[in-house]
Amino acid sequence: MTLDLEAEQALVVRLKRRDEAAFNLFVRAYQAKVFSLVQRMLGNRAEAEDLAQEVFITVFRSIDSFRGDSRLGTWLYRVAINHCKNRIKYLDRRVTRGHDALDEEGGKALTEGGPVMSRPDRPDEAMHGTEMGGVIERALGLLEEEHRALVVLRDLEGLSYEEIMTITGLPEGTVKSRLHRARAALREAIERGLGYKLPE
Amino acid sequence: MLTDDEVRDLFSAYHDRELSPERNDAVRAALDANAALKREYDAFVRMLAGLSAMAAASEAPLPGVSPPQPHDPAKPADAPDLLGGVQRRLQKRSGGKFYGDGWSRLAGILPLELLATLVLIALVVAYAAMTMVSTRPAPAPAGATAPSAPR
Repeated sequence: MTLDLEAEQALVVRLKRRDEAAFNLFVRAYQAKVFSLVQRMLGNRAEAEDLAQEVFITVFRSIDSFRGDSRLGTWLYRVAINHCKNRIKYLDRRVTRGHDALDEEGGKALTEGGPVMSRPDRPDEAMHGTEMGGVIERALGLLEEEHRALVVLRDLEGLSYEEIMTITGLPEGTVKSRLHRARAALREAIERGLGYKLPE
Repeated sequence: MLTDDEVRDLFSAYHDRELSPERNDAVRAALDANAALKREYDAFVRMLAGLSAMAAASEAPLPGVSPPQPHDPAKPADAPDLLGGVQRRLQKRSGGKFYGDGWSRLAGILPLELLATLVLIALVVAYAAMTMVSTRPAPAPAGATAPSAPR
């Protein structure tokens, strides 16, 4: 579903009146995109479903703060990304505490080495194999949230630099340099996961 | 002339066509001149293609956001319906003001104290009415005379 600018403005007016029918329309229009973004950021379907709902609740509550400086979709992405960063930090803290507990119980070996990624039989076909998708997904999960957000927004969601600047609040030069570092970090993570350099 | 590391730093911008024409030409020349560097760049591009391949199905672009580019992946096709869950959470957190039935909407609009007072008043009125009915003397049967005083 695509809304033109006029329809979007009308929708925003209704949303600011807390019109439930308009909000239903809004959720149906954007839920697939929001869920997709959140799932790619979190890498966990159940967490993503929970967080995507929270994103819409935040929109319902704080739509008054939307001034129309950007398109509604871009603003929604911003809300979603902020939620994701907070959730990732929360989950990381929880995992760290869990690991600490395991360490205390002598279970350190279970947590060492990071995610397990199997090596394909045919390295030359790795980039084209179905396994590669899983390797990339796991590697994405190893990136720090700022890098992950940039890769997801640019390379998975296909947003323009301008949109990413609006969503992240970063200047253009910073977006470009951080995206480059993020992609480099992703490549390293993939190679670590595969256990060898990407095929050349 | 760019060094190999400088070229590597420009891989992203070169791929995204974000470089100035001069810079773009310089990177291209460096890649043409250095086969190893070119292989590195090709691997980098394949990695980005791998990201794109994560797309499961294409769908309409997000309203307000630019349409997908050729290398862009689309969204998973099995996105859940979030509306019911969002409505339930909003109903619960707003105390029934939003997405509630008649009673919960009323509870959401009126302060709890006021609602409790109204319920109390209703109970008192009901109790008073019942008490009045039970203490009222039964009507005398027709033709009956008042009892005479004892002699």
